[in-house]
Amino acid sequence: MINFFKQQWWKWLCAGMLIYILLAGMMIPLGPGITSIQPFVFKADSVHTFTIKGYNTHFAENNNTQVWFKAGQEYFCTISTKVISAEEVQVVFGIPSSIASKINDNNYDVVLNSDNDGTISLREALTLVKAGAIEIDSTIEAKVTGCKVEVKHNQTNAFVFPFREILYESIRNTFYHVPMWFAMLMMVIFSTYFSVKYLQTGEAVNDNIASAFVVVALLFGALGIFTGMMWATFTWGEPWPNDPKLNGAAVGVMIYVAYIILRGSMTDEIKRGRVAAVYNIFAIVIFILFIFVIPRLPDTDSLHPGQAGNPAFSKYDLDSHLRLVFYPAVIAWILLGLWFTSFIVRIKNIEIKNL
Amino acid sequence: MVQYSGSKNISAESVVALFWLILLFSAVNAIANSLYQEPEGRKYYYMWLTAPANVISAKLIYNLLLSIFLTLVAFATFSVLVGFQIAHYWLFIATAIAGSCGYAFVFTTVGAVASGSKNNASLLAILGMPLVIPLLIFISKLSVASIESGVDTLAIKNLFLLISFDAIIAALAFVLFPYLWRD
Repeated sequence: MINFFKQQWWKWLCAGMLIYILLAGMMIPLGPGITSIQPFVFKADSVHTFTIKGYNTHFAENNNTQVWFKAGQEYFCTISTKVISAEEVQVVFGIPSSIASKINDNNYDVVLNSDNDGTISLREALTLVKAGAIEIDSTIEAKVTGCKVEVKHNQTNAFVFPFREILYESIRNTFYHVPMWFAMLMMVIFSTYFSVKYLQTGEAVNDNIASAFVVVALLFGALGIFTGMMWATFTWGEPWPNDPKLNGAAVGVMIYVAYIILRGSMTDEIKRGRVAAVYNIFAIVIFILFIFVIPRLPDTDSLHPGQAGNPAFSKYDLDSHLRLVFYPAVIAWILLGLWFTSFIVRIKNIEIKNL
Repeated sequence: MVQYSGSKNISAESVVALFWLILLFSAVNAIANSLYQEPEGRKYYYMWLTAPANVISAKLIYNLLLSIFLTLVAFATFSVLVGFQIAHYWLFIATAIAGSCGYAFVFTTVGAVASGSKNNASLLAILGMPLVIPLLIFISKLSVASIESGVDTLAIKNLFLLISFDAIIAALAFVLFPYLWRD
């Protein structure tokens, strides 16, 4: 490991990859999507004018902009569609209660099709309130139901990150929050490896490397918690919802803080090394229990993707464009952790020489 | 506690929570005393006398019996003075025994780790607290299951998880103690 620490090539690789993920992660734009529709509550049997707001969209008059409303499996057309600006469309729509009462679902999705942006949609955008006095005439009923629906599901060819409701631009946090935990886990595994090696050989250098890895793992753990709190504030509304994965991660970090306290409480070098190594092996078992076992227990709820019936993150959100930045990010942060560790080990070696 | 006994309206969950809190702190103190009140020279006598695996198994068994004894005493006292409203006594007692077993194993192992430093009683609390949290999670789930009527298979699964957690801690103590023992 010391030989690996002295080599140069992986540090250049790490720096290059970090620059790449910072630039690509921040500069690649988000794909087009619908952010809101006003008003979001409407009554049956009356005609309303809705304003649809897009994000990063390119609506234009001669652009085949079509809008449908979808409830259950039924698609309904608009009475008229008017493009206001590149990010705003106005539609007129109404539904007779005779049709609406046949559908059990009162939540209407908005589906928008255009040549520039492909098919974009907003799920459960509208809620129908079944209270209307004015009967709308049969011509409107014919306009709304008797249309041909051609949802093209074409995707834009632009190089963009996927537009997700709730996440929006914060999807870029995938390159920071998620790799922090990957890096922390790797640092902790390396640390355990060197602790085992210390118990086998008794060489002080292995103990130094193990403790340096724990310090770097704690740095990544703290950063993972901070980035996670920022993301949670944006998406879930509060920085610390009561989520088993959050609490497990916090306790996991606490276990390694206790490792630092344990090392600090002892002065005799050989005894300290041995006790710290034993505790480190003990700690990783509990750490893995907290990170991988307890959040997956059958009766725990979690807000995190991939747990408790939530779809796995990679299944829907991690598309090929995100992967192009995400995988380098995981490698780059792990290499940065190794780089930090090599600094701490060098400082310790210099201190030992000066004694 | 005083407020609770004054009001007389204690829910079944809070009685169980109090029971486990009292048990946790009594187990920590009892095990800390049993580990650190032995004179310095006796350790070397044991080293000369027998193998480290024998010493750790003796410590684990002694602390296990001590903490089961404490649990039973606390259980009897609570049943008489406060009164549990438990639907499934067998599940609660199985949880109590497996849980106190976990307390004993965690604090014996951590106590052996902490015995190298000077102020080991406070270090025992710092090192031990994060490690007992998984135990507390299982215990609270099982206690709630034993209060509610109708036992599902989930409770049995959790009980097995608790027992396997105890086994993991005991196995780790067994493997790692010889390295601590060498001086």
